[in-house]
Amino acid sequence: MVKPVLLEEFVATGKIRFVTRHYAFLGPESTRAAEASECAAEQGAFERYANLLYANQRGRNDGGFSDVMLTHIAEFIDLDAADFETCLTSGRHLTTVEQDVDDAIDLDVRGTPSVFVNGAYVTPADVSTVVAAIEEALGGSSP
Amino acid sequence: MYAKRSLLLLAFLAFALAVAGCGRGALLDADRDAVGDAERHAVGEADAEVTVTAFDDFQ
Repeated sequence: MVKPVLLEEFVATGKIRFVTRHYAFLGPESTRAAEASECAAEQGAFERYANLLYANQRGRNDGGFSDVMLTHIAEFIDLDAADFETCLTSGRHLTTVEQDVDDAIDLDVRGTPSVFVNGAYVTPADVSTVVAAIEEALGGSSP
Repeated sequence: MYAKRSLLLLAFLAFALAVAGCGRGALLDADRDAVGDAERHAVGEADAEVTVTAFDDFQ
């Protein structure tokens, strides 16, 4: 995965800012997981929650990210389960997730992960290509 | 005469490159605004030289 490498080599050294946005396009559980991550963010745990979602990826829309499972994951990292459940049930972050997806479509994003460096689309989004784009944006300096 | 022409050519090339550079910068800024519109989940220094934005799906 690209993100862990970038966090360690570039974010930790203050060279880049890393922004995560949703492109939930693989079905209802994609959208629900994205909403759940926003609920975790309400409790200051977006990154921890997102890491667990990645670690628990299974088949598409097969129950791996059902509401029950999403709440279990929240409990696993000691989030307030009641608040999390209330948030998820309310659907109050659905618009936010949908807005990210709309923006992604406007930007012609067609798969995940899709990476932009200072606004420029980088493809393929593998480590070496993204690192090369970052180094070019940094003026050729190494991490 | 020959040197004068060369200097004029160099000056013109420098001007053209400067104009092209400004255009490219404006384009990148516009793209950056479009991509980085929502920075809810950003990590790293706010004034970092480079912003990397990743669109992803958890499934």
